[in-house]
Amino acid sequence: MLSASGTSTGTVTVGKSGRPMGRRRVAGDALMGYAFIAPAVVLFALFQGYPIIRGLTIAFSDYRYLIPDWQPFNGVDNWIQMSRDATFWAALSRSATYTALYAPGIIVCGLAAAGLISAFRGPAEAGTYRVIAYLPVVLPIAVALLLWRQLLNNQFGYVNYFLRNVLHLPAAPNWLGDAAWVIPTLVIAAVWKQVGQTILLFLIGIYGINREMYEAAAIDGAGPWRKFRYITLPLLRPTFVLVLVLSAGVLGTVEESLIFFPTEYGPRNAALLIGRYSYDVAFRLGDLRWGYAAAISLTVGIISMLLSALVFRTLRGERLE
Amino acid sequence: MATAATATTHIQQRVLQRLWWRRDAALQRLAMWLFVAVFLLPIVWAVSSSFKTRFELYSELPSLLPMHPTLANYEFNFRRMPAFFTQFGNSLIVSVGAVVVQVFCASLAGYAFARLRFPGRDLIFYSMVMLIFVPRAGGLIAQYELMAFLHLRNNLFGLILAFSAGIAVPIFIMRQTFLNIPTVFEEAALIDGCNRWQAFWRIIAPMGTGGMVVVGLFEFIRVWGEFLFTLTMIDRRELFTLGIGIVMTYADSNLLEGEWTTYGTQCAGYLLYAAPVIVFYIALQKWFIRGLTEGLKL
Repeated sequence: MLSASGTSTGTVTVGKSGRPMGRRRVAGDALMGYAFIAPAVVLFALFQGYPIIRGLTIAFSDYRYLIPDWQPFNGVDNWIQMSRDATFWAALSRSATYTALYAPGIIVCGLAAAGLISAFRGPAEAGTYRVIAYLPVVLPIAVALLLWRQLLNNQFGYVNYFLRNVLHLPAAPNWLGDAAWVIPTLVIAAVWKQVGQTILLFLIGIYGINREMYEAAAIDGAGPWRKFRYITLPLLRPTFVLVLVLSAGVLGTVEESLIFFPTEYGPRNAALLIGRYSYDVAFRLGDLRWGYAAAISLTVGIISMLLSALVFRTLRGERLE
Repeated sequence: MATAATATTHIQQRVLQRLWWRRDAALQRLAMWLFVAVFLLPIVWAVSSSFKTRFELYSELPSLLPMHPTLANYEFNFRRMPAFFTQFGNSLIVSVGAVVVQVFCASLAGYAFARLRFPGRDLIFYSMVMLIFVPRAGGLIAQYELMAFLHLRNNLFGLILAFSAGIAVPIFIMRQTFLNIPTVFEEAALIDGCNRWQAFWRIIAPMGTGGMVVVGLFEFIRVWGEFLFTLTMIDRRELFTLGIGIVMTYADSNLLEGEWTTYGTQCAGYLLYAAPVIVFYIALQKWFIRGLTEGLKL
């Protein structure tokens, strides 16, 4: 039926923009267009679009999944509760620490690695390093995190073996057993998993910088450090913005905590990040308080959006012209 | 006299400079190798441990290479986990299914957004792209409710639909792909009496395979490694994917069906799970770089 309407109008027409379009079938094209995008749009609207809106309405209710037909609207009650919920504040501050360690970690490692890789001009060699850098990103997250769990094992892991027997440190950290080290440990694993993305972003930025600027600077007597400081860094500003905006999203991360500590929250609940708290409130604890969990995750989403906006404004604002 | 002196200093400077450069290059390579070594440590650990006997694994001095290599760890995974093959199959069904559905839908939509004219085209396209940046407040909760309502929980087909719905970036890539194909081909096909549908499948789609490979590859790797959504939507053991199965088997305790699992057996399990994506990634790496640069235009 659609194909019939597509062939029936075969006259020469002029497009909206006014230029002649040859044998264009405008009406048929419109129908065809809707038919072509329909499967994708339906999938997207149903599984991606609708849950965003529905999630918002759940956040303003006292929806408890295990109580049948119980989802009364409760205004801002969830937020009043949140303000009194000590677990919420503790988890939020752990997540803040997590993000505050993750962002500089991924920037320093990503930039250092990208700087190193970009120094190799041979396409084969640089290509090999790029492939290695991106490998952890394609690895399943469960594999990446569980490998780090073994590697950082206090007794049998390589890391503490190295710290004790090669560097002869008096006390190697008990990574997953010591409350103070749990969040840094999660950050190490997460940075290792994700830094490949950042390395590639920085590399694309560095490769885009005009080489003549470095040559001019070299003639003026600038060493590698000054070239990096006064050419590379300022010109990578857009990449920094992108990486920081992406980092703000880890505030609500769930997987790290869930895979490192599947059934508990580590020593002194040190691994109870805010995303994990929201997840467990929704799917594991008590009568599954969906309303409260959605309100928490909405709060976290808004905070990370504000963080992104802040990064955007401060870094975009002072443009060097 | 004066000119000779400046000439020698010039030469000296040149030689000195070249030596510095060489030293810099050597230092750079050294730093790079150090970085690669640290970076690959978890992988080295996994491969090495998976071939170690249990005595070697828990010895005082963990070695870099297995001294008495054994295949027992891999054997254990196959023998002790009859679920392994079921879970591998489930992962394969979900990943391949999501790839097929997503590539099909994204190609059609990408072509329409690139070439067909219809009211609201750009509005629909850009609102889909912008929605990526909206925070998913309670998204998982609403998705749970939706999937339960549609009887798609505990259903591999439900996973396929939900995963292939993450389609905004794929559509963007396919749109770019089709925008790069000159219009003359489809115009010729239309003049020859094809309708849009035929022109798309016979002429345009085969020219867009590059974009399809990129989309399919990223989707496969994303779905194969997915954890949280699958964990939330699947309760029945026989429907577990490998990601959930591995964590359930090895992360909770060291006991599996009464037998003690060592780091070696666990590592063998992790490697077997990760093998398909690693192989795909290494074999098709040039497509990755292409896909990443395409995605960046967003």
